[in-house]
Amino acid sequence: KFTSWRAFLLALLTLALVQAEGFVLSDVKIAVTTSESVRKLYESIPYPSSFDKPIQLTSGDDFKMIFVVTDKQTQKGVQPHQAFLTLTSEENGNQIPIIVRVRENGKAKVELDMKSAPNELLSSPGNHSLDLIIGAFSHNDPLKYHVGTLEVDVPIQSSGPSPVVYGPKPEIHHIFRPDEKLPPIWLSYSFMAIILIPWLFLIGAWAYIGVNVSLLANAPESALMSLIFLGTLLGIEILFYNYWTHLNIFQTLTWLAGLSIVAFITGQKALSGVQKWRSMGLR
Amino acid sequence: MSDKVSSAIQRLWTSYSKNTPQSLQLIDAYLVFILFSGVFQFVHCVLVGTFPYNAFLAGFISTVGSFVLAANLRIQTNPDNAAEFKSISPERAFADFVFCSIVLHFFVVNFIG
Repeated sequence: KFTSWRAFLLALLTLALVQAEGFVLSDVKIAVTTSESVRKLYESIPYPSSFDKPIQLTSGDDFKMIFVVTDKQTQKGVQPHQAFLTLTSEENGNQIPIIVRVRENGKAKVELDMKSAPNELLSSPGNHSLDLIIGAFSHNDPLKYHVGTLEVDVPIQSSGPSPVVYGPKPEIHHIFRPDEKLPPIWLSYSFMAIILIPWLFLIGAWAYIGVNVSLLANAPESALMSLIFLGTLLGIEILFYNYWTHLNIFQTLTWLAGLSIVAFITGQKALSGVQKWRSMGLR
Repeated sequence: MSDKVSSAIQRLWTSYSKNTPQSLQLIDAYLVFILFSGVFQFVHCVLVGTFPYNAFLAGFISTVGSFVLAANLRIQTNPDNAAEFKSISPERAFADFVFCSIVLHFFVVNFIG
């Protein structure tokens, strides 16, 4: 036994599967008016045959066309999703589309005013095949109806804009910024030597002033701590040199953590030994 | 005139070497060393331009920072100033100096590139 919602679902699916067949045009009429508002052409075209005489258009003319789109089965007006008029030049094959606005009852009107025509039309005189293309999502068969032939009579513009050609653009030759000039190598080497001179001064001055090593003799264990402490500091400096050359920051921080713990412990012991020694008045 | 200046310098030098404690003299030697390091680096930069600017800055800031830290150490370990620094013993000052120098060297090495 069918329940009501199953029936509804079935009806919905059936509706979705059903597609309408095609379109029929009726009441197709064209009119051409000159720039002085003189109507020079007014015809009714029997669909589905085309208009046999060529339609002449010069600059300033206004071409109008009206028609009604109906569904082939229900014979009611439809508003298709796509409706446009194409002008295909018989000389160079250029196609110019004009969008047609179709109202909900199926009635449509389209106008091509030569005064505001696209540049491609104004620069390609000659015969153009006029076709009407109608399509919709709900209908299976689209319609392409050859309305007639337009004879476009405009002066040949030698410097008309050429149609847009899509393709690769000219290659860009990028010039990279030239390298920075380095100083001459002998200058760099000599300054390297000059920078090392203050070190010599320091070692000489410290030797002259006299580094106080009496601590070493008196309190050997804190002397040992002092040596290890200074050694750890030297190790940290060597670690920094390695960090500059080849280590990354995580390895450096790992080593630094370890070395700084050692330095802290030995430094504390060494410095407290020095402090004790100083408070005893021997310094 | 010039021998007055030279005799004044002479007296300054003898007074300095006699009256300044040895530890302070050591720090003074270190200060002079750092000063000349910075001066030479600056002269090099003036001569050849600042091409690897970060390298020059790293080296120069290293000398300036070390100079400041050593001057600080000198001030804090001077026995004449002991009244102002009651809570900071000379050993604590030295430990601070070492720690700050390590941190400064780390950042300098980072910046040299």
